Amino acid sequence: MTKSYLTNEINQNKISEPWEQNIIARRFTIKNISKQMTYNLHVYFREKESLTHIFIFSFLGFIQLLFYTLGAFLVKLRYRDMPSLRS
Amino acid sequence: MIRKIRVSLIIPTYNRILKLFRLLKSLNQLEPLPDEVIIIDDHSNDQTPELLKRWEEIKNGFCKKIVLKDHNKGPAHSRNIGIETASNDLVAFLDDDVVVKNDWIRRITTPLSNENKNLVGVGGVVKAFKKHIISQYYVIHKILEAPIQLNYLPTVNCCFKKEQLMNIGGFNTSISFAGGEDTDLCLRLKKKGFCFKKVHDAIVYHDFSPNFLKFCQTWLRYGKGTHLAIHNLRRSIND
Repeated sequence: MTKSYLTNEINQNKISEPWEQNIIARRFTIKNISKQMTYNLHVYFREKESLTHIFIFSFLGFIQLLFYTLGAFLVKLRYRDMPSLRS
Repeated sequence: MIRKIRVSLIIPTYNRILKLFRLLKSLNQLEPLPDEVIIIDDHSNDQTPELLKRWEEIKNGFCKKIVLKDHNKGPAHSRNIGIETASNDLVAFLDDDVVVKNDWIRRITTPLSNENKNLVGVGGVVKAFKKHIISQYYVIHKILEAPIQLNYLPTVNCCFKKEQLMNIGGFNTSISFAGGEDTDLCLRLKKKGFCFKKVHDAIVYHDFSPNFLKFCQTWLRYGKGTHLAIHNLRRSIND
């Protein structure tokens, strides 16, 4: 199980090119937070990390999603005319 | 006789004199050595230009090129200067806050010397130089490594064929900060039908900042940079 900060777009029907499908950013959603938690549980059981570390990793993952989404939002504000792939 | 690999090593730097010094020291341990090392100083305010001038005078067994920029224009601009300056067919990129393992240059360049014409880039593995909770987070989550889908290679540890980089115009200088410029480049290469590879034994040790505020700033930058890359990509498709 490998994770990257660039993962599958949830709304994949907007994407036409297969090579582009994995580059859309992971957003701040309940689903993605739960994915982070699942990954951290894998780390806990497989890498034998301490529970304290797992809590801190979960917190950092939460912050990561939050700021990543905020950065993406700032770009979207700047480029409101961002063309859709459908158009 | 010193063994060399015909690769140009490009290192952009900005205000990180101590970390850069540590990297330059680690380059001496490389076996074999790169043919050429190009360092581009992005108009640092610290003693970096003096360090580079002194380093240029030392004989290390590889060709040295130093570019001191007049203005701060970001790492994408610096890397483009490095690509234009490079005299070899392969160009390897490193960040200035890493330390390389002694066989790194051999490991990162080997896949590019085979016959696969579509393979244009190779990425490696990033480990932590100092052990703290934020560096552990980055390493365990493989954040500075090529993802499993191999759709991009972070420039902290990678090697490309120069010709293909020149053909697509190099890095996008409209992304003037660190983050997203590598994604943008790789997306354009992917669009042309090229592919990448990850080698698990090309290792660099990254000095991650333990500062929580810097962690937040980094992710804000990554969010902005990646979405700028997506914006550019969509615009090029629609054009």
